[in-house]
Amino acid sequence: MRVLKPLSAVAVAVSLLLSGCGESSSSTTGSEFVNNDGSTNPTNPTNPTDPTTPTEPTTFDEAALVANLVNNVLSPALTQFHSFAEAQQTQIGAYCSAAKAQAENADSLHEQAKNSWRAAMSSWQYVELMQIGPLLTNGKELKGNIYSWPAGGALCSIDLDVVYHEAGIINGNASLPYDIKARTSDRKGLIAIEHALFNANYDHNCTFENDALAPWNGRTVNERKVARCEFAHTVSGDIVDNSSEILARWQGDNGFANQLLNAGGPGSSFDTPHLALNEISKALFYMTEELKDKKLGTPLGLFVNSCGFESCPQDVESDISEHSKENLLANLRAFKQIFTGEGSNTENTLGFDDFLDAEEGTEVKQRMLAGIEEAEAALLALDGSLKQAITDDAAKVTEVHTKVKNVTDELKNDFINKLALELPQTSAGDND
Amino acid sequence: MTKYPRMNKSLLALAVAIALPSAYAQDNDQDDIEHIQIISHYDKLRTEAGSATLLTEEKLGEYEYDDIHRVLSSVPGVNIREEDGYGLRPNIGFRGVTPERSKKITIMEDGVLIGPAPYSAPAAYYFPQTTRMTAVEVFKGPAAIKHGPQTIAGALNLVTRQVPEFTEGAIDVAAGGDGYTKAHGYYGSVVNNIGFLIEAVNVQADGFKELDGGGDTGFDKNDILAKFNYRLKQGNFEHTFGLKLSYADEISDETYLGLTEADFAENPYRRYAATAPANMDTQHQQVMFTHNVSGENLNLTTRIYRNDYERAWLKLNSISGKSPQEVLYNLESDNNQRLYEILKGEQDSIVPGATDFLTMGTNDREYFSQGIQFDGDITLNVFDLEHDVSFGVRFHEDEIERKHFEESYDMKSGVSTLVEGSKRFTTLNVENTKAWSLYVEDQIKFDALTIGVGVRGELMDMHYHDNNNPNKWQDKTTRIWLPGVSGFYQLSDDAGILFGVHRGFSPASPAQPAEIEIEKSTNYEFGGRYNDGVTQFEVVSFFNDYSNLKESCGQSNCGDINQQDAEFNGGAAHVYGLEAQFSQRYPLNLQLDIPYGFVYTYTKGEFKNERYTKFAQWGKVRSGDPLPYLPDHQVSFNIGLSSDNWRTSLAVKYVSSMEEASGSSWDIGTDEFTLYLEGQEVPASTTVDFSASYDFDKYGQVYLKVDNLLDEDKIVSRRPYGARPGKPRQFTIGYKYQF
Repeated sequence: MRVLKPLSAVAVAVSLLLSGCGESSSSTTGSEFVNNDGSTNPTNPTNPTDPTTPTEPTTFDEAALVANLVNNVLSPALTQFHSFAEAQQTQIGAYCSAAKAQAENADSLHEQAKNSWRAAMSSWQYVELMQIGPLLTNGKELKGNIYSWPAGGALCSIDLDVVYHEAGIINGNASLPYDIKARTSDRKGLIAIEHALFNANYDHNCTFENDALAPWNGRTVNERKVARCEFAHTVSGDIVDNSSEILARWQGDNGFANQLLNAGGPGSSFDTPHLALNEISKALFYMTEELKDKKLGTPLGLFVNSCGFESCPQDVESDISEHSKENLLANLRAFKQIFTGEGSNTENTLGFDDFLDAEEGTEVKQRMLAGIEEAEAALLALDGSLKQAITDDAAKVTEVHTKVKNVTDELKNDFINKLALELPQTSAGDND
Repeated sequence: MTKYPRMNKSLLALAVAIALPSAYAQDNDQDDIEHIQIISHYDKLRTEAGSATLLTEEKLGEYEYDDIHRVLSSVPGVNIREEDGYGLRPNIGFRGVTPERSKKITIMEDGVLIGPAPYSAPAAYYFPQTTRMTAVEVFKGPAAIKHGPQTIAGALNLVTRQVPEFTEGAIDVAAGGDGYTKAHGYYGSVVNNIGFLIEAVNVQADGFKELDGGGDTGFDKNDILAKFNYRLKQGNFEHTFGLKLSYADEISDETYLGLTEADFAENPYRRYAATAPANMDTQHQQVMFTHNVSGENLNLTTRIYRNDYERAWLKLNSISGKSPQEVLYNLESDNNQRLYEILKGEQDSIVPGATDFLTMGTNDREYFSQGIQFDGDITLNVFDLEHDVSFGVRFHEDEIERKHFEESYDMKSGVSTLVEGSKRFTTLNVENTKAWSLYVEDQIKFDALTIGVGVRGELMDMHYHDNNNPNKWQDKTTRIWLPGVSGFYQLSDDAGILFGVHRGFSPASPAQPAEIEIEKSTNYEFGGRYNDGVTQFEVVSFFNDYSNLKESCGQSNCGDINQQDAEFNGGAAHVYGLEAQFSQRYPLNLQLDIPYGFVYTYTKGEFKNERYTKFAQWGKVRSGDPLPYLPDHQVSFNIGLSSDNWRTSLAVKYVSSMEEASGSSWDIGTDEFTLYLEGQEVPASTTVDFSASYDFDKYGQVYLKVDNLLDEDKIVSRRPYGARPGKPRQFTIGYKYQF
């Protein structure tokens, strides 16, 4: 029994230690440690919709702001693109018929088809800067089917699909019927149509020729025009289908628009209007990486491009159609619409600018509004296309980049801090 | 392994040493300062509490392994994820902890922490050259609380050659398939009471993978070790002073990029052209002073150590902003087919309409790890009870400085070339830890019952700062006490029962906010041993109850550069299992014995909560979801046949299938996460290794070994970027001479 007494003491000591073993942790941090750089030190929330709750509740009517942005900015942009996409399909169809018949008005219809693409593209560039909800789901699948930029664009891939489309089967394999729905996004969408309609070089762009492609360069220009046009027509139909799908997921009782509008209410995935607003604000960050760095910085040689680190005109967006300036203009105006709330209803202009006023951010608002105006003015001051401007006067393009950067600097710092919004992880790394 | 068998050992001793999967130490190997715990003689019942395994020099020499994965394959309770086939950067876990870069076990060499920065960045990118080790010690369960900071799973101590008492030396040269060569030698002696040892190793191989466009895929490793000691006797105490200097370097053509399933099926050993520039360049230095004083009831060892390590690993990070895993697992999406063809060198980076460069990242890092530690052992008799008290205190400091950068590479006509001027820094930061740790354990003997009661304390002052942003820093202090109790009840001369319970923890890195919960668990073990000098049998069950299972992202286990060094909470989880080992010898006749042994490990790990995570191996987990890379069953069988001057051995290892990922992809509201490799498994594998040797007595020994005799070529892992194979069948022939 002499064993029992010390054993009991051991048991008690161990129980105490195991149940309440001492543990403590404390820290002091630098002013920017809390807002961790997502790329180097992110944390993972148990709940995936990590709330960014303001430290003090705002008196500003965030739900009203969400409602105006949804109803007067975001929804109209989507419906407007849909109508332009349908018009594009019609115009391309008309051009194809004329080209096939070698009709006299074929060239004129070709120009109209190109114009319909330009209109659709400009309209899309509004949506491009409004990437939320169904445009983001499943790895941006629907968005990519309409416009896969910055990925994709290899002309050889599109050339192959032109011949596969014409043959109705993939590379001579009868068991693989051509189905535009099953084709990857880099072979269709607005980029593919641009190549099919605008590229005046009718030879293919591949360094190798498979059996399906081998006869291509030996065919007449008109045959190749027709093949490209009919391919473009099929693609334009696919764009309409994808646009319809986006609208279906956006509209209706269970649509994403209602999720935003009913934030805080039953059935919404947003617990508060602030979280809905946060979701919309993420779209604005398109201006940082895509617009500033990829559309301007890369062709300017600020980032590695196909020329190395030099100005590289061919690396602009929409290179073949030389539509890049118009794309940028649409992006800037879309940004401005979200920021100012100035959309389809001129009587309701509740925007982030008003939210900034309410949160003692008037100076930030003014700097951002001035920045947007200056960026747009600098862009419009370019002579000719962006591609031409990079060749002729890169300094002017650099000026556009500088003005855009003024806005994104505000966006990434004072804007989100004043409004207690979240910096998207993709914008956390600083390329400046 | 270059192990030099002592020629005069009895056949019996050698045979048993060969047979025992966890062969126990010889008496004369137990009391040198390189070992950190005395483990009993092989032919007696071990009466210590806690799970401990020792692989002796004879056992290590049996297969001449260079790969620690293969060395540990016969130790129960070890879970491994293979990666490059050579074990250059091992992934070892014990009792179900994640094996990733061995970051959840405490790794030591000669009793001191040897990982590059065990507190600040525990991923063990440096791992000592296994071939120069003379013993490997594995501690699990309560036995591990003496060896922090990682105390959930256990500790691994690698024992280098000790300074000989008389003049001694040896050489070992070997050559094998795929350009494998090994040159290893040592010489030691005693001059004017000062003992010394010089040892050098070079191991290299051209590599077994076939690079598109040609080129090496192997490695070249050098190790140099110098040791000096001085022994002094004062009264009843013997003092030993030691100095150890070591240097190691490695150049290897390693990459993280694997293959698509289809390419793997066609040729598992292929490597895509994009990996041609890949290169790992490392250097490691160590200086250590030791002092040991021992008397009848007291043993005290002081170690002062400093390790410096630097590494720069150039490897593929992404292509056109996309992770290679996103490309290889989704060839039917976006422009991934083109990007895949660029990886293979079949398309150029720059073509009309598209520019897609390869982004090669160099994770350039410098580490240091230094400290002073005292470990003691004293036997006492208090209140008529025998006490064996072990204690220790250590001050340790380690640091990692990251100087990561990326460069663009242009794939053109199958050759990947650096785009000049494209270097841009990515991560520039420093993490540092100063840690006091102490432990005390009292083994008290109550008749047939031995109870061990111990506690470990860790006090860590951590600092993090971002070299890009002076306002981004953190100073953090964490304190924790970890108690444990273990016991052994001797049923008879040949049998006994062991049990134990202890708290384990794994420190969070200095960059993690203080409010982030650290990993903790309560670990239980229960089992029994039998040893009658002929048959050894041990069964230990364990149960690790995690209050919060944690994981962190490195490129090797996540693959997403944007999640580099991010930590994730997995919440409550259970890991439980059974470790069994059995060994016996069968006397064929007076000259020949057949020693044989089995080791079996059953492990089950599962989450006990539901949560959404963005960890690349978890996704959305539910209660009952299995932990990744944890096989349910592992069996190894060893059999030998030996005579006076020849010996053959065969080792068979079966590992059941392992999940590549735990949970599922998820999509909630506006947030979504794609869990790559969801539902996929690393297939079960059976590996057979063979070795044989012939002893020419004073003219040395010739040995032949065949690793992977059946030429198994199954996938060993699909992380981070595609399927990768293990080492194919490799023949090696070698010659050893000892004097």
